[in-house]
Amino acid sequence: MIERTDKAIKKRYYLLLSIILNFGMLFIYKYFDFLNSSIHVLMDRLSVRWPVPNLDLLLPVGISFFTFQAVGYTIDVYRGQVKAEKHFGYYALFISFFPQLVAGPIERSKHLLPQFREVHFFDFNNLEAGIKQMIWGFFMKLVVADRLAMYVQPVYGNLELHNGTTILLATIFFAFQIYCDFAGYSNIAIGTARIMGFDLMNNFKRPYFATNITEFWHRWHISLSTWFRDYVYIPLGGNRFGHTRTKFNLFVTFMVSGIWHGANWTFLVWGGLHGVLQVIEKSFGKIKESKSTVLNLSSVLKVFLTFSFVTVTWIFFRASGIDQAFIAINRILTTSGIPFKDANTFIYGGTGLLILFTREFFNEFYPGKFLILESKQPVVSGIAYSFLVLVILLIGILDQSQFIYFQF
Amino acid sequence: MVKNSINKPVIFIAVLIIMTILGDTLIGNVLNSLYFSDASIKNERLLAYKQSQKDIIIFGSSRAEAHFDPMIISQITGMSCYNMGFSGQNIYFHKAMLESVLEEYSPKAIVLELLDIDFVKTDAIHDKEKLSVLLPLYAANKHAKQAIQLRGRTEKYKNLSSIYPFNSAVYAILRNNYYPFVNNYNGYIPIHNKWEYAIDSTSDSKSKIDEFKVKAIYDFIEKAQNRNCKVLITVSPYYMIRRDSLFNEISKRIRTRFDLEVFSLSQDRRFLDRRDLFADPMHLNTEGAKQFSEIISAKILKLVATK
Repeated sequence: MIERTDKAIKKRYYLLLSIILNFGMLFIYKYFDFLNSSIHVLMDRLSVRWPVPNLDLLLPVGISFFTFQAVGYTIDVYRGQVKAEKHFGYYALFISFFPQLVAGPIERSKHLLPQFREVHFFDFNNLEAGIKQMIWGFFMKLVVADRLAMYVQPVYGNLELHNGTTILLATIFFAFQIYCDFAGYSNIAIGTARIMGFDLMNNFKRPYFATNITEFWHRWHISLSTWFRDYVYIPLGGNRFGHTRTKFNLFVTFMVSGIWHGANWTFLVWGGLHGVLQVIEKSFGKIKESKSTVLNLSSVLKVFLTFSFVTVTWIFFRASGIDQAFIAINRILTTSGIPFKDANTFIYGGTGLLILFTREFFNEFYPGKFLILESKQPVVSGIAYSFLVLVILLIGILDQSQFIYFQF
Repeated sequence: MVKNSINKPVIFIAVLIIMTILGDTLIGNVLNSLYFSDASIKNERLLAYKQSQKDIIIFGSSRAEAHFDPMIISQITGMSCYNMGFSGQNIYFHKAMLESVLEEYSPKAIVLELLDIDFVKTDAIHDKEKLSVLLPLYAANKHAKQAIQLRGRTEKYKNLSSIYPFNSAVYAILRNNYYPFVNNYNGYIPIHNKWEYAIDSTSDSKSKIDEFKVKAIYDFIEKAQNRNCKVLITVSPYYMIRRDSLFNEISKRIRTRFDLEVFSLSQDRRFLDRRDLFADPMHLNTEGAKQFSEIISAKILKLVATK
């Protein structure tokens, strides 16, 4: 309908209707109870009875991801960047393409939709590339993320009991847990799609080697950050209306990004902190992104500082409430409490982290020189990936576990 | 050109499969022999059923592990004792361990320290998933194998891998063989600290009875009684005010079915008024365990003396 009509006002009306319908569903499932509870608390304080009960609906898995994909498509059609898909089957496949349905990458219509109309033949090269990416994804998820989760979960579940070093360690572990959980899923999704001949966008680019927060967001959850750039930040005016407005737009975009992650004040604070940090960076002038090949003291220091800032913000992301986040921050600075020493996490998690770091370090600073996993020789790469499979079998967590981003 | 582009991925996949199978078989077999080596049997508490033909065997979770001191029990009863309590485990694990013991011999007395996770519904992660500790015994012990299969239908396929049963056990295997974790207390793991906080209260009103677990408790008692073992079901002290309606329900069922009294010191004043006997609200410390073991020893003596 958007495409068919010539009148701009009608186009805008249809777009608005589509956005309201899509975000309306998301709001009812994900945000209604949060807003309602907040109003309830406020009214209680004012001694006013608030009669609206919570809906307590079960959240459809991946609703934030496929809603954003659907809204992105509608806006692209409105902007004339893609033609409206007339075949319902292709459209449904675009929204519910199984590898990336529940946790992304959030695909763009002009990238993915045309691929459904192409004829795909089985290709051994795709099979090889897909298997490699999936094995690396499983390694990230099972060896690093799930192992570190076994340390993070009990510590963040009982913050009052643990000492500062333990909470600090758990927070650092969480930074790697969430990265490997989410990037692991993305790799598995991209690898699965690749085996079937589909190309999905890259979602992570070694984010903890970023030298500033702006760059971090160019490397972390790329499909979401570019979505917010194209459909929130730029429509708000982007950087076209002066410095102050640019900073305001940036801050608003990150607040929205925060609330996208979940209906909780912790996510709002997390998004807000990232917004503030980027506004501060912008205030210090133009941000230069590091060239991936430069390794010197200055870049190491910047990487360390950026990682530290990001890790502090993860406290809000991980804590079950704002109060818990502040308890964690306060307790990191104290020595009282029980230390949590878990040999399995330190040994197995440490091994996983070492392999992860080695690969990412060489890919970042010496691209093409870590020739074991990236080798063009099939025998060498076959042995290298079988080594990863054996590591997964030896020290991965092979029980049933979920991906963190499934909840979003 | 086309041929070359097909060859490379085919070689990669072939090498990947062959090396994975070879590596899995080789590493799995090395781990298997290390796990069942003499040093491991001496140091691995899971293998206690193979080496300790003791008169009294204690089963239960961390509360059993930390509350029953076999030295004290042996001193008072004059019978040898081993504590097979295992932190975080529930009745499925205890039943598999009891069956493994009964495969070897019949102890004089079996003590089961009952915890609510033994009969209420819990998340999978606190339930059957915990049985992964039995994985190394999958091929060697049919009772452990049965328990592991409770984890899901995929377990039999996962266990086609030779490494999988030893998943996350490499450190323990190497430690047991080269840096032994010596437990001189016959399985008892004492906790030394003292609890310093005020008493709390709890209720099991939100929990539901898991009938599969209850069936496992019945099987546990029946199997022990069928082998002429005296059975004592205990609930050791808590440092918390508990309203245990489900505990009472289970105790009643056991009494009715087996004419067996559950010996509960859950709310016993000798402990409930003594914060200094606890390491935390769930666990007695060494002094608490000493006093509790003395009480239990008298109870066991009485039990063994009955016909």
